Amino acid sequence: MTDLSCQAEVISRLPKKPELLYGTMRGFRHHTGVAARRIARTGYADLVVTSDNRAMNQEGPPDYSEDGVDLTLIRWMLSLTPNQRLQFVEERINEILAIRELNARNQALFNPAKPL
Amino acid sequence: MQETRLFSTLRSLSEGGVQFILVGGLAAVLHGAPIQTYDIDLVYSQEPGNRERLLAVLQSLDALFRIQPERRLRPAASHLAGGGHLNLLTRYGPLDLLGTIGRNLNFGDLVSHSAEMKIGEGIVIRVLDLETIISLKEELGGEKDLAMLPLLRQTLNEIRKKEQH
Repeated sequence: MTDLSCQAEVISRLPKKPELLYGTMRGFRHHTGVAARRIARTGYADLVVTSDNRAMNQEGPPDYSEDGVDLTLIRWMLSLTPNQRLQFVEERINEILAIRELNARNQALFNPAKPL
Repeated sequence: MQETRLFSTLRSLSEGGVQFILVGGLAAVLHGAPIQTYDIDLVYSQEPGNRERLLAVLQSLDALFRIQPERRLRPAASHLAGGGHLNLLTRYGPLDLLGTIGRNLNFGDLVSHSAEMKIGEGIVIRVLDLETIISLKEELGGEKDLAMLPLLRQTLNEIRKKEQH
């Protein structure tokens, strides 16, 4: 379960009786704390493969291979034509080059070389 | 900023009548592997007429050797006849020309392991098949090649699954 869906689920289960709210809020903090620790421990990949996704995919093919390759990305690439794949790579290269150029300019602007 | 135009390079080569096989990362991308690559690697036919056509295209693309670009060394007919690796920079970006690949496999050896692929209106190029790309990377065994292997193998698996359905 992702951090956000975890919170949404907890909020949707808030009890109607105010006297039960305190216990629920303790549970909420526990849930979000667990999620935060899990994200810190496992990184971004664990956010993508959520328990919700796993539940959805019980009948379908897995999202990741055993060696950690993102199969959803491959399937998406295979859904494109060769021309679209080429265009996609070309656009990414040009974006990276543009960012690098912008970064180099900003480095000079915000971190000018110190006089010796 | 100089823009990289992979398509423009491939179109120039195709329209110039150059016989070549696209190999390496970009070939893998065209097969559907989600990897990022910055250059074009191709094996060209060593047939004299083809070398002449290739040289004409290289001149039209203002190709220079990437090594010591300040010297502005341009590829000549003798370089292409040598059959070695030429690492060039054209006005559309990096272009690596290979006389042979792997265990001295040349254009003729690789044709049967490649297929024509349409990459745009009227632009058809020959691309090395994914099985051969994988086996070449296994042979090379460099860190960069080995790192790419799981992704390439899984791409091949997914293609095969797709073909079965």
